[in-house]
Amino acid sequence: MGPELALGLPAIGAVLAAALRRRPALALLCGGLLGIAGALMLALLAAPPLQASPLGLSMAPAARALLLLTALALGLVVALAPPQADRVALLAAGLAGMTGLAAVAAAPDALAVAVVIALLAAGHAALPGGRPFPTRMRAPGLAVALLLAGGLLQHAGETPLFARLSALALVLSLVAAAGLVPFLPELDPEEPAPASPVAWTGFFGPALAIALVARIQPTIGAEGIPVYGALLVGLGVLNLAWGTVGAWLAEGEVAAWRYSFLADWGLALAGLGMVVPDGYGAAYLVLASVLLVRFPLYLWARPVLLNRTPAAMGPANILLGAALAGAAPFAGFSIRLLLLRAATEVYWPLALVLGLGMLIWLGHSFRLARTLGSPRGRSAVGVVVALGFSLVLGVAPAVLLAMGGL
Amino acid sequence: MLSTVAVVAVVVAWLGGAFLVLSDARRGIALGMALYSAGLASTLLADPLAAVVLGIAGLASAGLRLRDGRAGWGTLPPGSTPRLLLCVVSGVLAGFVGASILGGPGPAPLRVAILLGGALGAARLMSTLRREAALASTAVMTLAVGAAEAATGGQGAPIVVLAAAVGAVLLGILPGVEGDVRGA
Repeated sequence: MGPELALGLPAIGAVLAAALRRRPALALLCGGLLGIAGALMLALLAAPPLQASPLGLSMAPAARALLLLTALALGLVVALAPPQADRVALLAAGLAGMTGLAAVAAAPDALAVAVVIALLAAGHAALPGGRPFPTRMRAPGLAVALLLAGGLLQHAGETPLFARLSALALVLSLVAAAGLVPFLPELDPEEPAPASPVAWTGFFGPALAIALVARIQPTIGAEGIPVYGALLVGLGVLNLAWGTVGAWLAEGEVAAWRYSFLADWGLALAGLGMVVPDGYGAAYLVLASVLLVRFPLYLWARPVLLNRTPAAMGPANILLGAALAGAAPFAGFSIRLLLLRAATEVYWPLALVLGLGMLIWLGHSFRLARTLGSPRGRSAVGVVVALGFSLVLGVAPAVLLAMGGL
Repeated sequence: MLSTVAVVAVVVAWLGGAFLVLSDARRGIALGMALYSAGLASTLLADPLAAVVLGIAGLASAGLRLRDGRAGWGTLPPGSTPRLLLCVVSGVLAGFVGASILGGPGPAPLRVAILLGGALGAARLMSTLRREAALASTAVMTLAVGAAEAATGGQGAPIVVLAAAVGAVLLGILPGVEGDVRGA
C-alpha cells in the first residue's frame, strides 16, 4: 500500500487545507500533518516490504527522492513564508501538486503521465491568478499532445523512424511540461506566487522532469537514444544561454528571477541529455538545488519584487550572490564539476560551451541577491536554511545522489 | 476491410472535434465534446469496458459544460474560415497518418479517432482565449489519451482509462467562467 498512501495522504491534506481555509491554524495543522505523513511514507518506500502495491504502482528511486525533496521544500516555504503570504493557499496548492507529482512518479508509462499532467496543469491553471486559464494551459496542454504522439509512435511499428520521432515528441513534451524555452509561458509579475509560472517551473517541474525521464528513457530504445540525447543537450544549451543572458539583461527583477530558473534548467537538460551517470547525477543535483535553494529564495525575494521592501546589498546578500553564482563550497560548484566531467566524457567541445554559459552566469547572481533585501524574522531564518541546503548539496552531494540511487 | 460502424464512428468523432474548434459558445462546445466522445467510444468496441467508461465520461463532461460560459451555439462565427480549413486538413491528415502510416496501436479507426482528438484538442487549446473551450479541449485530449492507453493494452491500462475518464469529468466540473481574483 506504500505508493498508494504516498499519493493519497497529500491529496487528503490538500482537500482538508482548502476546506478549512477560513480557520488557517486548523488548516495548516491538518494539511501539515498529512503532508508530513505522506513524506514519511515516501521515505519509507525505500524499504522493499512497503513497495508492494495492490494497484501495481512503483516509483523509481530518483523520482521518489526528488519527491521527498519537494515535500521538504514545501515544508520550508510554508513554515517560513514571508508575513504577507497566504500560507494556507501555499500549503493546499503544494499538497495538491505533491499528489500530482506522486501520480506522475507512479504512472506506468508516458500516456499515464499525460493524463496526470493534464489534471495537474488544469488544477494549477484554475488557481486565482492574473493570466487567463487558456493562456496558462497552453504549454502543459502541448505537453499532453506531445506525450500522446510519443506514446502512439512507440507502438506504431518496428521502423527506426518511429523510434526517433517518438524520442523527439517525448523530449519536447518534457520541455513543454516544465515550461521552458521554446514553450515559455507569459509572466505576470503581480500574479500570486502559487499560480505563477515560476512556481510551476521551480516547484512542480523538477520532480516532474525526473519522474518523466525515469518513465520515458527506458522505453526509447537504441534507435531513439541519439535523438533523445542530442535534443536534450541542444535544448539545455539553448535554455542556459537564454536564461543567463535574459537574467542579466531583463528589465524587471521578477523576469530576471524567472530567467535564472531557465539557466538552472539548461544545466539539468544538458546533464540528462548526456546519458552518462555523471550527467544524470548533475541534472538531479541541479533540480534538487532549484527546489531547496532557488525556489525558496525567490519566494523570500517577493516582498522586494512587489516593492513592499527595499533591495539591499549587505554581507548576507554577497554570500547569497556567491551561492547563486555557483561558487565553492555551495551547491553550484559540485554540480558544475560533475557536469563538465560528463561533458568531457561525451564530447569535449560541449564542456567549452557549458563553461562559457557558466561564466556569463556570474552576471545575474548578485543582481538577484540584491532582491532578497535585508531579510528579518521568518525570512531571515529561511534564507539561512536555504544557504545551509546549498552548502550541504555542495559539500556532500554523494549523500543526495545515494538517496536517489545514483 | 473497415466496417460501416467504424467509418461512421470516425466521421462522428471528426464532426465532434470540428464543432469543438468551430464553436465559441456553450452549446456548440458541448455538442462537439459529446459527438467526439460518442465517436471515440464507438471505435473502441473491441474493448467494451474502456468504450463505456470513456463514452459516459465524455458525455457527462459535455453535459457539465452546458452549465456556464457564453450562451447559445456560437458555431462558425464570422472569421472562422482558417479554423474550418484547420478542421478539414486535420481530418485528412489524421485519416492518412492513422490508417496508412502508423501500424499500431489498435485498429486504424481507433488510431484516427485518437489522432483527431489530440490534434483538434491541442489546436483549439493553443488558439482559444475562452475558458470553457480550453477546458473542453483538455477533456477531449484526456479522453484520447485514455483511448490510446486502452489500445496499447499496457499493464496499467484499466487504471489509466479510469483516470482519464475521471479527469474528463473533473475538467467538466471546473467552472467555465474566469474568476477575476488577483492577489499578492
